[in-house]
Amino acid sequence: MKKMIVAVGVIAGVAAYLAATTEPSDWRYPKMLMTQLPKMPFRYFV
Amino acid sequence: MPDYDVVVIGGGIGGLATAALCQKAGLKTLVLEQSERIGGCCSTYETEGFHFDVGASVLEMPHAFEELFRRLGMDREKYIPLIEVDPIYDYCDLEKGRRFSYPTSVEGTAEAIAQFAPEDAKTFLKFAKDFTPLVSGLVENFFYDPCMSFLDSLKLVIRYPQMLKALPLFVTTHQKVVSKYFKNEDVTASMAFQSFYGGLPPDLCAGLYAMIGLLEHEGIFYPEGGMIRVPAGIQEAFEDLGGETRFNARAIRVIVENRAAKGVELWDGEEITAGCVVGAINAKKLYEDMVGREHLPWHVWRGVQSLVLSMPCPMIYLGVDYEPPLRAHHTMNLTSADVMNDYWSDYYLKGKLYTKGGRTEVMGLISWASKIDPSLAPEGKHVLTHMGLAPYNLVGNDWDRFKEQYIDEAIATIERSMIPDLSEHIVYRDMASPKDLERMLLHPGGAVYGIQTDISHMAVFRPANRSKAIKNLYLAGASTHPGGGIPGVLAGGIITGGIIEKDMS
Repeated sequence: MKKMIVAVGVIAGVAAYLAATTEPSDWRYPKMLMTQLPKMPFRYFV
Repeated sequence: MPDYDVVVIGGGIGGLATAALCQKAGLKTLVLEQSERIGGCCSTYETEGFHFDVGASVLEMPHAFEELFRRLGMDREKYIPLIEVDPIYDYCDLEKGRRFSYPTSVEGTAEAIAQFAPEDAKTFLKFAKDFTPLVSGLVENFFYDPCMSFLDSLKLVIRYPQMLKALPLFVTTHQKVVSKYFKNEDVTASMAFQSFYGGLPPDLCAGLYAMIGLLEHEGIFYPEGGMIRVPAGIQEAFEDLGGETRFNARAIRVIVENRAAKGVELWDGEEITAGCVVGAINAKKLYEDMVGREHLPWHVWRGVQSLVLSMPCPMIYLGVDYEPPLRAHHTMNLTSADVMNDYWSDYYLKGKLYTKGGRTEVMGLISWASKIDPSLAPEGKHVLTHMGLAPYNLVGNDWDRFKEQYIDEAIATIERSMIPDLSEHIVYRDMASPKDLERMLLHPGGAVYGIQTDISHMAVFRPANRSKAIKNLYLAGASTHPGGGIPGVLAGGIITGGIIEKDMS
């Protein structure tokens, strides 16, 4: 559970960084990441 | 007592590197190769006197080989003699009258760029200056060390604080990095296509991959006798250390008891017990088919299912009866970065090949291996391979039916853009479609780069070199850290070998 919270925290940090630095004209990459982000905590345990 | 200390499933270079290091550490090691040929997609096959490389066509980052053989205490040159390839690429679009080559030297490449884009020539030198310290730092600190947990990541940052500077490269895109430096469309294309080595187009691939455009200038190499020399050389070193390789030995199951790997079951029912098992195959296949859902906690199973396979690379093999009018070992069909990006989102993901003006354009890279090593073809003849980019699932078609048409369309594209009279000189033609690669090499989806390499599948989010769910199970190959491509796979093998040595001692 602790690991899961850390994983979610790191991912939220990456998401915040992206939101702050990505130009609105280029959404393909953030869009792809948005679809992958919810899966990352599970991938951490593989 | 188990039969072996270590059993490795898969005789590709990742599995062989791990096996050699384990054997060197005094562990009794067995490699199981499902086919009769070593190397997986880094291999060579012979037919009618022509020797064709199955997939991989060149070696970048030669220090990965030096590092392996240094750890083995053996002479790399004795096992894998290499020939330097220079120029590293020729970029070509005859229809547009565009053609230029990049030599190995950074200064020489800047001079080549200056011929048609003087401003970009200056920024290429700046790009090299900016990225050189980053490349060497990252390679030394990130490439040969495990990155299985956040603690591992923290250790990397503590040991190499400059890594924090590279952090933006993980979250920006290859396209953005390249666009920041280069304005000319052709130069941008020449620095952007390397994103496909990570399995994605420039606008979806992590910015870190922009480093490849510089790494290539450290020198690229071709092994004497074809790409099979690489796995064969590592296998020889492994066997000289006392290791054992079995061919036509297809593993179908990892024997798991109480969430610990105990050995491997082969297709003929034979069971081999081992202190630990290394799955040097696609991680998805390993966990889904060979370990099985019943041995995995639900959240791990969900993680495995969420892994996205990398793109397949259909391969065309051509024997020709003349010296083709090419200038380099690798010739790239010059395609703008915008077209690469649009191709991915508008065609590839929809199961279609790229079409322009009503005709199919097959994107890809030609390798001319017999230019470097004439022994690969009968006298007066040459071998060419074409590595393409096409989806595994074709809308309204099937690769088994479509193969001949694909070859025809690829040859037509090559004639328009790179070799005008190619079809008049072909004496042998064949191809390995994504489905063939899946059947021959057991790569699901024909994914030769294993699992996709975007930030959501990198480092701690990539299947770990030591399984987090099954004790005594380890991973090597393109699916695990650091990733696909020969240097990545070799580095992954080195990492896994090191972990096993520590764990078993």
